[in-house]
Amino acid sequence: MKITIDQSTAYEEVEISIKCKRIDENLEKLISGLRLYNSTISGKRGEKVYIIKLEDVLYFDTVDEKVFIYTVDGVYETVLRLYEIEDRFAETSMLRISKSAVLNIRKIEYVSPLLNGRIEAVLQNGEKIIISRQYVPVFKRKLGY
Amino acid sequence: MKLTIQHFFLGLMIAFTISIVLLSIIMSTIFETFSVPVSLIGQSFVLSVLCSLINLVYRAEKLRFLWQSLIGYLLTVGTIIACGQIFGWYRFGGESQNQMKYILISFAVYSLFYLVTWLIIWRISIRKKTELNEKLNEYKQQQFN
Repeated sequence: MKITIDQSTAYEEVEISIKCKRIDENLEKLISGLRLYNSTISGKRGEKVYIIKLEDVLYFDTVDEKVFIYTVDGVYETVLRLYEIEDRFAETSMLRISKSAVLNIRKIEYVSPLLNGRIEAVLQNGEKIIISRQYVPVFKRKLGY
Repeated sequence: MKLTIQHFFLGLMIAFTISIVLLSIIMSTIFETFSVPVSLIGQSFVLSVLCSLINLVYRAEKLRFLWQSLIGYLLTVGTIIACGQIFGWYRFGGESQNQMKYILISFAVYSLFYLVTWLIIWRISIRKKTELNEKLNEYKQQQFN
């Protein structure tokens, strides 16, 4: 693979162009990573609105019909609904794991299958989150299992 | 809901098959007969339906697996003994003072069966954990490369 980087103050925005014969599985994952890097989401904490990089997000969770963004640095509220987040970041490492949560797979440290068909994911910050039975097949497919 | 119904019928099929096999073994070894009375088959079916219903406790996502196991075990063992008393299984071929002995035997046999099943599931779970984490690491490496 040839990588060409053209750095100049003349450019206002980062532009990545990929030249390939066909998009294979590895390339798809690379593109998904780039999308994740480039994506941001706004979240409110207190009176302030923050722009959060998607790569910093651990997971999204719904509490009392409000959607929260969980990062290592803190918790933010978003106006987006969970299905909107799921659709918007479908081609990234974000994955719906239960009726109330979307998880960033890249932030999983390790997983433990529970004996009742669910999977417990331990995140990089030590937090534990459950992948419900209904979403376990989707999670496995995403990993290529 | 559809999955819960499927789970119920699958459990019923397994429980009924096991009960018929066990009945056949008991009838041929203890009573030295190679036929099973129709009334006993009907009673086994009732017990299988009840056990399959109890088995649905494993689908209750809000319960931890330890609680699911404990509730499942206690309810099943209680149902087996109660059915045995109601259908008069413990009076088969024995005097009434032997009832307690038969109850204890059925309790011990079921407990052993439950323990063995639990250990098999636990072993499978350990293997699955290793495989899943290997896939997860592969996924993360591909995302970062």
